[in-house]
Parts: sequence; structure tokens; C-alpha cells
Amino acid sequence: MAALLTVRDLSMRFGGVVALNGVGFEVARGSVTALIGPNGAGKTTVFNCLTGFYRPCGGAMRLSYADGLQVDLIEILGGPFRWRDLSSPRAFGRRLYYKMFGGAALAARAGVVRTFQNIRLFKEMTAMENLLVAQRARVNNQLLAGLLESASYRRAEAEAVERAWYWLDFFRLADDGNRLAGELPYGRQRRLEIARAMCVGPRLLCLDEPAAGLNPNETRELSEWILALRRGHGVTVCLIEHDMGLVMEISDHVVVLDHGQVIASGRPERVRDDPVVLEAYLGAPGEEGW
Amino acid sequence: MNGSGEGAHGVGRWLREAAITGGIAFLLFAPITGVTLSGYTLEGHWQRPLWLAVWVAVGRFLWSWFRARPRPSPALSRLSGAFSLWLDDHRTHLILILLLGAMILPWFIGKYWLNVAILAWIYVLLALGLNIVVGLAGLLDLGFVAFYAVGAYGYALGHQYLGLSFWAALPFGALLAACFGVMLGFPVLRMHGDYLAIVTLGFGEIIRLVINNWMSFTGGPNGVRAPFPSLFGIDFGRRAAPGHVTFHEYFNLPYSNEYRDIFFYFLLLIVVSGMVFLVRRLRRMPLGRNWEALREDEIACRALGIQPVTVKLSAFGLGAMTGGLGGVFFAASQGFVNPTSFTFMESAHILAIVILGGMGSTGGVIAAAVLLTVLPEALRDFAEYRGLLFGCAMVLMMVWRPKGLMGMRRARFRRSGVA
Repeated sequence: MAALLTVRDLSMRFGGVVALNGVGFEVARGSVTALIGPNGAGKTTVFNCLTGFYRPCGGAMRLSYADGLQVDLIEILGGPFRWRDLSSPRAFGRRLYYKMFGGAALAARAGVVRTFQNIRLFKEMTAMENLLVAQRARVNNQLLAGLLESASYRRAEAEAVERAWYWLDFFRLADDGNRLAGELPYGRQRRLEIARAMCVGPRLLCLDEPAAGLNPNETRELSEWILALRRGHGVTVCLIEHDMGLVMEISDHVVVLDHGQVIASGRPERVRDDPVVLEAYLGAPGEEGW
Repeated sequence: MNGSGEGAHGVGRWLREAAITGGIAFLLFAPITGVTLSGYTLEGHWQRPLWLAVWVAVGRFLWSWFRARPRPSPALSRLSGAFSLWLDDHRTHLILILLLGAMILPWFIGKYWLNVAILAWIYVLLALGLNIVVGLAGLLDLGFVAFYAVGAYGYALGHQYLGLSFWAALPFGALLAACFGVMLGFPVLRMHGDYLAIVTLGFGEIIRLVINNWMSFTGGPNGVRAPFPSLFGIDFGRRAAPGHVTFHEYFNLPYSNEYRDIFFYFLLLIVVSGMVFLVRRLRRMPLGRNWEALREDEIACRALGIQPVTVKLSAFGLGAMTGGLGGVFFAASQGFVNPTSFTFMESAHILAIVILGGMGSTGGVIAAAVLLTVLPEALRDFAEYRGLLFGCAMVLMMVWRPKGLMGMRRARFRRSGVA
């Protein structure tokens, strides 16, 4: 399978702390790829780089879609100026634009949409409004069209509402459409956040610990939903997860990080039996002298 | 038996607490109010602290009683629920009735109250503007008066230097203020909360100080004249300028300057109604939703592909535009502007209106603006206590109704497929 996302040599430093050191992996088109590792291994840092919340210090991140579209994620995050930009005003202008307006919003528009480890819903807005906000690219954003309620504006709004209902139904949230997002029980907030991410129309859905705080039943439902998303909606999923049961069940490919480096990657069962991975999680045998 | 015993015990405890509180109050008030210096001798007024202490004790007792009182009965809450449902169904009717009331109002109140009403509408305009910035987009702006000043001076100076009429100044002042709003927006894009509040506060003061000190251009503390608007070239003065007609001559009426105020009142009413309509539409539009999303969580907005830069700038721009409109009307109604009208207190007043009205709720903000303009006029005898009452009202609001007089009403969505 061709790679949707190729990450090569990604590095990130915070002052003297090296959070990522030459991380490289691939996410195949239409796959479910899990990013695992002990606490502090740099998983969320990888996510923050992918979705544009951090500007990596070096390396390459490239998306290549099935329709031939190529996106250089580093460039739209506003990479550093280069000397050769001076000779080409167009390249200079692009770089300046991305410096000013680039970052996470453009990564999301390029199709990389994420959820958060600690849920970040718009708490004082209803579930429905949360999903409508996410459909920025699909509604009519023109001020005049909205103020005069032109036909195209109304059509776009009605479609957005329909789409939002579809996703609420999908995640069994239909009764909560008009409730405030902050009032919902925890499990439903998690689901609503994934529904909201789906409303953006992602090609690469990044889930940061989607099963954290869910009970076993909810986790099982979640794995079914993730597989259904992949099957029926053409989404490639990349997830960080500590629940190994979930990871082993749904992922096609597992990448193990430790101390900012990829220590193993491959099919889940291979990674599970890899001695290097066991060592990273449990410590080297006999290391502590017991 | 047991219950009544407990009740008696409760009253006894309240009395004891009231007595203790009264005693402490007496000790505190005795040196402050009980002893006065008259010439070189000290005079004792033991009744004064005693009365104050009695009042405090009574207050404490009532407070205990109020706290122990049973919660409102379910029937009452059901009634209020039914009322709010009824309100939802008849919202349009209610708005029409209120609008009608506002239209016949000027014929029943005197000249003095007409001017108060005009001021109230100007504050409604300002509060609607600040509501966009603070209530919807969640950007705490303590310098909103800057845009008010820009609008007012935009008209006054535009008239002086460019010969702008009121009608030309309306869009000009609004646009000028919007430009200033965007200008302020750029440097504060990355700021939040308290830091943003401080910078906007500084911006408000900068505008006022520039106006105050740039003598050659703005006239400094002496202010600038701003003429009253005319209606299709008809003046409202007693005598017309050469080449103009006056209103009373044109319609063959005896002269009265009340026509002028009524005309101005209706003009404001139209503009305010338009603005209310605009804000209500905006709230349901993608732009309004993005403002609220930005208030709730900026990081989540970015993760969804919403560019905070444009959303913030649009909020600042549209809010400032509304404030600028208010400024133009203020200048025209006063006939004269000078920097003392645009102090920080004015910003605080507008912010208080927005908070009192409930962040984001249009109806609440209008009600609060009218209330906070009319009440101080009605309570002119208590002018010294205005600040005190104001502060008390704010504290009580924060305790009992932190979401404002009327909370924000959220849009409800129905499925189109299902009947």
C-alpha cells in the first residue's frame, strides 16, 4: 500500500531537551497506525508536529493523497527563511504567508485533523454547534450572503445541519444534539470530539488517546467505530493509545517510540514480541539487580 | 415535636449570631461615628453607633432567615419554565410589542426624559458592539471607549476639515472606527485574558491623550463642534442657515425644539433596530459561531482549520464599527465633543452593561443598557451612592446570576427529514 504520510528524520528540541530525535515512519493509505511507547516517549510531540501545533526543528513530513496531491507539511507550518528565497520573490512570498497565517489551521485544511488527550470541546455551545463550527470549509462564509440569507447560504447551512445529524447518529449522540457539549457525560464528550473531527472532512484522522477514561464496553464500541470510519469513510487513522488490547485489535501497523526515537515498528504481533519493546516498557531484565 | 424544637433552636441561634454581629459592628462604629470633634472638645454621640449596630443585627438576622428559608417550590419553577416556553413561542410578538412601545414612547415623556432615552439608545449601540468583542469572541476589551471617541471625533473633525455632513459621517465614522479596531487587533493577536485587557486599556488611554494633547488638530480640551443632522436638507434650528429651510417653517408649525429630539430618537431607533437584527443574524452565521468557538477554545479552533487571526480581527473590526456608530450619534446629540467624555470610566460603564446583561445575550444587553442609563437619572437624589449601588449590583449578579440577567439562548436544531 502506498504511504499517505511519510515522516523522515523528524527532530524537535525544547531548549536543551531533545524531545524527538530522527523520528521516521510511514502511515499507509487506508490503514490504522498506532503510535505507542512509555510516558514521555514523545508520542504527543509527534502529533503536535503533524498537526502543526509545533514547528519541528528539522526533518520532513509529506502527505501524498490518492488523487496525486502532495502537501509538504513543514512548508505550510512556516519553515525558516532560506538564502535562496531571496532570488525567488514567489517562494519568499509563500514563506512569508505561511509564517503569518500558517500552522495548525492550514494543516487541518490540508486534511490532518486531530482530537486531544484532554477533551477540547466548545463547552458552552451545543453539540450541534460544535459540529457546525467544524464544517468551516463547507458552509458559505461570506458576510453579505449570510446577512441577507441568500439561497446558496441557506442551502449550505441546511446541508451542514444534515451532515452534523448524520455524524451524531453515527456516534449514537442523536438525543444530545441540542445539549451543551460541556454537560454531556465523559464518554459522550469523547465521541462528540471524534464526530467533530470527522465533520472537518479529514483524510488523516489523528486520535490522541481516544480510549482514555472509557470503560471496557465503550472501548469495544470505539474500536468498532474506528474500523467503520476506515472502511466506510476513506479515512486513514493514526492513533496514540495506552490500551494495548485496543491497539492490537485494530491497528495494522504499530510504531514504538522511546526517548524520542523509533525503537521498533511493524505488524502488531511482531512488535508485541519484540524484546526491545519489552525492555522499553518493563526495563531491562536484571538491570535493577533483582 | 422534634422539628419545632429544632426550629426554635434555629431562631435562637440566629438571634445569638445577630447579637454578636451587632456587637462587633458597635465596636467598629463607635470610634468612627460615636465621637466627633467640635471645636476643641470631643462630643459623644452614643445613639449613632447603636442605631447602626441595630441595623446590622437586623440585617444579619434577615440574612440567616433568608438562608434557612425553603427552596422555591417545584410549582413555582414549573411556572417559570412554562413562562420561558411561552416566551420562546411568542418571541416575535414580544419584540414587535416592545418596538411599538419604543415608537410611541417619545410622545408621552417630556423633553428631559426624551434626552435620557436618546442616551440610553446610544449606550445600547455601544453595548451591542462591545458584546461582539467580549461576550461573543471572549476578548476582554477595557478600551472600548477608544472606538466611541474615534466615531465621535470622526464626525466632528470630518465636519470641520472635510465638511462632512452627518449622513456622510455615519459610514465614515463607522469605517474609521473599524480600521482602528483592526489596527488594535493586530498587535494583540497573541494575547489572552488579563494581558489583552491591559493592552486594550492602554490603547483607550492613548486615543484619549492624543485627542487631548494634539491642540492644533483636535482643539484639545476645548473640544470640537458637531452640528445636528438635517433631514433631506431641512434644518431643525429656530432659524435656517442661508439657503436652507427649517422644519417648522416647512410644515407650518410653531417652533419647538422637541421635533428635533423626536426626529433624532427615531433615527437612533432605526439604527439600533438594524444593529440588533445584524447581531442576531451574525450569531447564527458561521462567523458568529466561529467567534463563540474562539471564546471557548482557541486551540481546538486551530485544530479544526479555523484561522484565529481572521476571526479575532473580524470581531474587533465589527465591534469597533458599532462603537464608532455610537460615537457619531453621541457627537451629533451633544452638538460638541471633548476628551472628557471618553475616559476609562466610560469603558467600565459599557463593560458593566455587557456583564450585567449576560455575556452574549442580545436582549439582556439591551435591557441592561436601558436600565443602567435610566436608573441613575431616576435616582438623581442618590447620585453620591451611584457607585456603591453599582458595585453592589455587580457583586449580587456575580453571586446569583453569573450568566447575566438573561442567559444566552442557544439556537435549537431540528431534523429536516423528521416531521
